Amino acid sequence: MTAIPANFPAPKRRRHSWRKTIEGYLFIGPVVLGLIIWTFGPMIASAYYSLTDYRIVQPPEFIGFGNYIELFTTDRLFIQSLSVTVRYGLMFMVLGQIVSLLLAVLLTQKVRGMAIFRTFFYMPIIVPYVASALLWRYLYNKDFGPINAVLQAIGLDPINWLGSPESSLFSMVIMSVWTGAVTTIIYVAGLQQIPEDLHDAAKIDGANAVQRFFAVTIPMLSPTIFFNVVTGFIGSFQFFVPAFLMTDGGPIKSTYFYNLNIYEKAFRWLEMGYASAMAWVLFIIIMAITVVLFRVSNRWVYYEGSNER
Amino acid sequence: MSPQKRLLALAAGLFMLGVGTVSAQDVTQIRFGTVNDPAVDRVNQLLIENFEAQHPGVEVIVEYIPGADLVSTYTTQAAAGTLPDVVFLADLYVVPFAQGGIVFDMQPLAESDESFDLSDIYDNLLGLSRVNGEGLYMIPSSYDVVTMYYNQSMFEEAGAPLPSPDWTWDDYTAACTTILEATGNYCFANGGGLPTFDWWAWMVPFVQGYGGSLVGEDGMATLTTDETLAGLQAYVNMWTESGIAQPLDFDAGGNCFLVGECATAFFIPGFMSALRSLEPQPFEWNVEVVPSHPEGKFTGMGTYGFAVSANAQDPSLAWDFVKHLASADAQLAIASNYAGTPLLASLREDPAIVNLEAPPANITAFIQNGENGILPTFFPGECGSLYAGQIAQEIKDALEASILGFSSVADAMAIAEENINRCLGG
Repeated sequence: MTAIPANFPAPKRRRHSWRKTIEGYLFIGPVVLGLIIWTFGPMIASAYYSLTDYRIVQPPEFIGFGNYIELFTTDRLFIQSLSVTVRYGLMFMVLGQIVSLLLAVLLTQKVRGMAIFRTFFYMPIIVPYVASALLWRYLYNKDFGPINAVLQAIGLDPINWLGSPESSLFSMVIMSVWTGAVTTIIYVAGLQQIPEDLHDAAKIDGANAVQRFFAVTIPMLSPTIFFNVVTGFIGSFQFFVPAFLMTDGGPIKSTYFYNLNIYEKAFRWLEMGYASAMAWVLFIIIMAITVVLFRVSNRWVYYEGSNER
Repeated sequence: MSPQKRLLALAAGLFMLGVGTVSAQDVTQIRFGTVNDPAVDRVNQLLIENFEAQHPGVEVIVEYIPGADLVSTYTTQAAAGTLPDVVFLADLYVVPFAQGGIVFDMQPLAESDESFDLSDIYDNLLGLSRVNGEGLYMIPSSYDVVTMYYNQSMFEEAGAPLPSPDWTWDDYTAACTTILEATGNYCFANGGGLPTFDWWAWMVPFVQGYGGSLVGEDGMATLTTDETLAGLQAYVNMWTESGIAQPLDFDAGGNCFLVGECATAFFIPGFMSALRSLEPQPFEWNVEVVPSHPEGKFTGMGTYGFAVSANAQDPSLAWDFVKHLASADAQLAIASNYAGTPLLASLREDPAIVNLEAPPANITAFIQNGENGILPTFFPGECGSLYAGQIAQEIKDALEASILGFSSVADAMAIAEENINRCLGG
């Protein structure tokens, strides 16, 4: 421990500035107020409603954990919609991350006109979500959709993309990967942060391109991968609009996502209390898996400059 | 003028302005909640014009509500006690709105009003406005019985016999098979702007037509009795056996009948206006009563209408607004616009209706078909209805699984029955 010399001047105690404190609170005030009114308020209200039988037009009737018990014991659509959402999430996470990463690698190559390519791949983000859902419904049309026209032109059988329970969920995954340009852009930014020196050093050591990708690029990109995995996972559990517009959960409930189930219970069946309970179960599931992801991340995410992996 | 006097004058002016504002608020108003839809606009206008003529001192405030937001808007307004005095609704909303306290029971108003003859309205149609036969929660707009529209050009091109009043469903299936083989076109249009395969107004008539029922006397679901299963099987056979129904995944690019890819559509009279608005007419079409089942002719009904809301400031004033819908003037105006069929028995053979310009040439089929109109099955308890909730969901899932061939009708309905009865019994 280093001793402080006796003649060393004591640090000036900074005067507490009330003016700055008030200014600070004033600046964050609107955001905090917005959070309290529009986020925490409804959350607390929905937590209460989840313990009630509430059908909007009549006052809520307290039923304890009745909604939760019904969810886990008799509601077959709860398990069905959760299963659809989890299967979609897993497929989207694997396919989406691989495709986005490969695209990002291609988009960081030193070739002429790269800005045009990047703009081209970012374009799906500009298309409104509803418009892209309707566009894909047309593309997937079994009878006159362009995708099946191409398949038939090259001698393949047409696929009933959205009309068959075997293919409908995967069709949603493909569409989501197409609209996942933000993931690609984040990977592009992550790849550009990797120092060239590391690649050069690996080259000198005799590593080929594939070895450099797995030994240098992936570990250095692991924080970005982790970020995309967490946000992608949360996003996949919030999937709603395309299923609502393109299939309405069918056929045979094969695209009946959890959020579609909540929407149906709340706004078609008017069972607000039950829908609130479903929303809280979803919140707890997302929180739990996010915590697990963060715990596991210590084992594979590498932060440069940190002693920890 | 001194500054003090100016200030005093200003204060007096503001006070007078305030008084004026208060006076303006005292003028009686009636709030009219409705949808902005080409099929309803003319009716909205009729009601407003008539009411304003009868009550010149009362201002009508129209509040348009998007059709898709009707339920959420009304329920939140009801929770806040701010519903319009008069509300638009449809048959599927009658039970939930009545049970939810959104609409007012107009039966006492109708009975005490000497200028209003409730008995002139077809009784089976009024059933759509009641909750299990009780109360009056909607004045319907038209005698909207599901009737068969057919593409005459397609029938003739395929060499199929044209529909006739004495047709059975077997005759229908035979003619449709001829059309399917000759043209590749389907017959029974569904989805794509028309109701979907699970619409009660198509499915329940098959059940009753084979002597079955979806609910027993004890109030429990009876989806697996021999009669009910026979009816449901006959309905599903249109997809699975004869293949004459538009497949669930067949996207015709819109209403299959309207775009000329399906030979028939079973729908309400208001569909006439959409067909007649096609310029030029893409094909010749006409209407006919529904074919017979083994137990006779049965068909569904479905209509929109208006009601006095539970928050009406003055229910009798709101009733004055609503009741005009069932007047001879309003009904003749609706019918002459091809937006419906008169719901008054006294207009059954009115020349203004019978002699309406074709198409359809056989417009009286709508009224004749009215005798076959049945009501949606009523399920007690809080498990939903044939329109929404768990009951509708279970039956829809069972039908879908059967139509797509993932399950037999008997197996699918057994699961649905078990799930529904677990809810009803609980």
